Amino acid sequence: MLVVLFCLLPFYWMLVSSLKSPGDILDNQLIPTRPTMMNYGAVFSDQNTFALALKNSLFIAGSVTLIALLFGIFASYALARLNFKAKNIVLATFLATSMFPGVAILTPLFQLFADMGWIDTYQAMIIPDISFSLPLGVWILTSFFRAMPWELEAAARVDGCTPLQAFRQVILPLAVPGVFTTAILIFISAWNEFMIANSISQTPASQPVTVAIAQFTGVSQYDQPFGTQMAAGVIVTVPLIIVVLIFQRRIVSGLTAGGVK
Amino acid sequence: MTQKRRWLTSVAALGVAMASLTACGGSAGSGAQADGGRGPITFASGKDLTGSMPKLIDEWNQLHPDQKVTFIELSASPDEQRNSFVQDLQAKSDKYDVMWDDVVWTSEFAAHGWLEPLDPAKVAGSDVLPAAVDSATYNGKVYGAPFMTNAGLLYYRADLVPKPPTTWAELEADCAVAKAHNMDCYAGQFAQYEGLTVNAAEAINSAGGSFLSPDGKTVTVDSPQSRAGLQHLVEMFKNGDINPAGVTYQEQQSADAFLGGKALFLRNWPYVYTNANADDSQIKGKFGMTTLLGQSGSGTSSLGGIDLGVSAFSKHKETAKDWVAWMQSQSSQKTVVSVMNQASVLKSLYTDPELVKASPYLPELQKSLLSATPRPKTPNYNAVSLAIQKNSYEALQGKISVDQAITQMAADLKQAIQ
Amino acid sequence: MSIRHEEIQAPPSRTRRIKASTSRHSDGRLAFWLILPAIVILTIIMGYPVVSSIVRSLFGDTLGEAVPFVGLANYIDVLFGNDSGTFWGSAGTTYFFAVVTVSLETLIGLAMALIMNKAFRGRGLLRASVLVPWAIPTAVTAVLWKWSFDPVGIINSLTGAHIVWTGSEWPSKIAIVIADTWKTAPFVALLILAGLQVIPDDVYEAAKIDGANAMQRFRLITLPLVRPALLVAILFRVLDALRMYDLPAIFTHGANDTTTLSILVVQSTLSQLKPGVGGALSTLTFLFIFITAFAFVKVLGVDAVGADEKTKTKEVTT
Repeated sequence: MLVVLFCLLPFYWMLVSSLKSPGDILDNQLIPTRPTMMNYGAVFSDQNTFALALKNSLFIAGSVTLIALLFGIFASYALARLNFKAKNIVLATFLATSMFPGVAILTPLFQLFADMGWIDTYQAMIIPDISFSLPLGVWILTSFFRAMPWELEAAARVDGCTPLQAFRQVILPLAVPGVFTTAILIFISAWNEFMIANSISQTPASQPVTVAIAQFTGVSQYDQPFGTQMAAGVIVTVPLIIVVLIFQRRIVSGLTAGGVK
Repeated sequence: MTQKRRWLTSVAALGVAMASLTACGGSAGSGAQADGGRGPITFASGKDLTGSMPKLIDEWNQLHPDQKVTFIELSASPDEQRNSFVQDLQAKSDKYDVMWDDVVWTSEFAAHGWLEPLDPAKVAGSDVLPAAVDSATYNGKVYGAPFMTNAGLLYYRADLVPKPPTTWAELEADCAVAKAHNMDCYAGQFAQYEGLTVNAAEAINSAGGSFLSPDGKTVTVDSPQSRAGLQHLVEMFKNGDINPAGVTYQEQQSADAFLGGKALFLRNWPYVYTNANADDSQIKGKFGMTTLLGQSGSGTSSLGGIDLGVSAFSKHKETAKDWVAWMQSQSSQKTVVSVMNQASVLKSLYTDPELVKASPYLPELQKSLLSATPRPKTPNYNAVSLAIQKNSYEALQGKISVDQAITQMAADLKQAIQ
Repeated sequence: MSIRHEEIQAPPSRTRRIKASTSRHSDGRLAFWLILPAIVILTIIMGYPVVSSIVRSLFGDTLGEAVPFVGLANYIDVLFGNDSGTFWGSAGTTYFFAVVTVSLETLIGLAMALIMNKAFRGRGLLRASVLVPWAIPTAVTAVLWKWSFDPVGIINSLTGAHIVWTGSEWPSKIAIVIADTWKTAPFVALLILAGLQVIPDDVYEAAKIDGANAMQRFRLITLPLVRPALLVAILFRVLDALRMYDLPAIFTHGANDTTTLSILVVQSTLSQLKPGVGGALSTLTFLFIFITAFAFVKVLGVDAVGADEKTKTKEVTT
């Protein structure tokens, strides 16, 4: 219960704030005295760019998750299962790529994409996001694959399965919790990515929600539209919670169920 | 391409074997201009909160169908706007033909060779406020057409202080009124960010101090005047005339304190007038506005505002130059005042009866503008500003003495302008 | 403990037989093709910018077209120059944040994971709610916490305190630690949970029959088995925490001794347009993180690379 409170109280405050009018927003009332949907209206009013931004985010984060997961599974299968010399170096290199301060790669990357004419395109955000999620993905999946009961796969191969079949039918189902955990982590981090998107996406056509939220303004350039930002935060978070609710069954069922079979 | 870029590229190519991708492209501008530098251009501004920018642009586009302007709307945050510009300029892209530059960026952009010098006769005429022209000038050349300007004003509760103070001493005396009403006396922007540079600079300039020499090459802050200026703010914090929470205030928080009836005086930009005078305002009809104060009489405001700069990488520079001059014309500037609710750079508009009727603070604002000082003019503005913020902030918190703060500020400034 | 640990490891005999039958050579080739896509993408996106940023750090920051080659002058300036105090100060701040936040997040994350792993009604809802903080975009959470920590914000109002949270050193640091812990503990929890799922129930059953109490079961079974996942989670959190930028930048703009190394990098690269010094700062930050990570992997033996790697190789060669 404490855990739920710890996690949800600030979210509750966010929800409450999103339901208050600008006049009430600073009143610190835990229940909005005059609840209003005006902040939600404001989120979607801006020539509907927010709806477009939601679509962009979904596309970008979705592609990132699929591709990063695919590449990640390839790489970590090799790292966990196969024997080759450079293994430690490869793993260390993956790790090392997440050690450079993000902003330091921003300028060179922007120039690279500018030279290629990729500014304001999806791929210019998807590819960096993939590279940000790969190190973590590879490490998690590798440690997962390592814990798999590979003798089952071996048995399947003795039974006449090809290596691919053995992998697909025996190992993959067992790896489901790990794969889904990784997928959720990758999806969320791609969904929340701001720094790269903020410099690459320059028009609403490619802007993801994080950038759209940062563009919200109050009545003057000096005012921060707190209520509107909170409303947008709620809108952006709810789909993620639904996704997690759907996927969490997978996280549970995986290995325990598979092990019994 | 420069030596450096080429070197960089080849090394990177060796290291990563990606030569084909890094071949430097995107250079623009210098080729033979068959079109005489005329043609369609883009104009990037900060978020257009009043929706009037497209109307201005439409007007122009109807007059110049073959030199159309396309509007690019950037974030409302100045830092974000600057990042967008800098990124494209570093990549030598011609994405933005005309850029909306905060006055403190003009020197920096010009020093990097990113801005095209403009003809003073066209964009710095006699009706343009001298301080605004000054802020757009770097090394003797004008690099931006002043478009909007801005200066700080002192808001006061006219119902409690019928006669506004005229010096710091009078202001401090009026703080007794605040105490009697259980309010804070004074609110401004004292969190560590650009707003603190503005406020600290105003205090120091108003006491006769300065930061850099006019050419931006010598540090001049280490003076008794600067100490007296900073001392004024430090003392108000010590006496409780400024709320201890003041060290977290930006424009919004300080305005909220005044609008909520919790502060007697407020230093802020003219925009607060609209909120204070709104129908649901607690203080409607109960406040007045005057110029900032100094040790003996009126103080000196820091100058804000926007210059329109023409990119050095633009392919249609002639059109761009005409456009920035047109944006400075009387008719465009009237839109700036009446629709965008911003301060014009043209002196004549401050006495225009119609405009004054809508914005009664215009005469006070003009007084403030005429005595306003540009913030230190240097290509290293951000480093300079950081040095000012950091040291004044610690002095306001009482962490270091005013003397230490100014001494350290001088040392940091020296480092910053190297 | 060590004996039990051995027992739980997958029986090595069968693994060895299969491994030995596939030749190391073909393994290598397959591995190459499997890893290639990941390597290619990382090389383009990380490799090129990192190399160019390091190269740039060897050049000066004078204005104008040709910048002079200055060798290690930028590094020397950062480490020993007039402003070196700022650098070492932020390095200290960065490590302070990393140590405090990662410790708290690990403890809270572990607790969350253990609770989530229990079977009870409403577990799905619990899991979803634990993920909420992690799922909200950082930009939004930072704003949410900034307003909550406002002098007239909800936190002071609820607790009756009058603390100017972002106005002095320790309150600022505490506020940043709280906001960061709230946001990222769920990340650690999820990773640990995934690790917990791998532990077969019968191991616990066996331990129960052997008479181990709950504490013993946690110490002797859960902890050793969840160790690989736990260490990977901590490792990645450390890497992230050492690059912390958003929260201090939004809360205090780096005032009150909350300037982290990443804030310094942004100040020099973006706001002061000094890519030379910025490059040197990034490279130094990278080195600090690299050394930390290396020490971490060596000392604690993160399992994904470390200890059992060697044993497996040995198995094959024997």
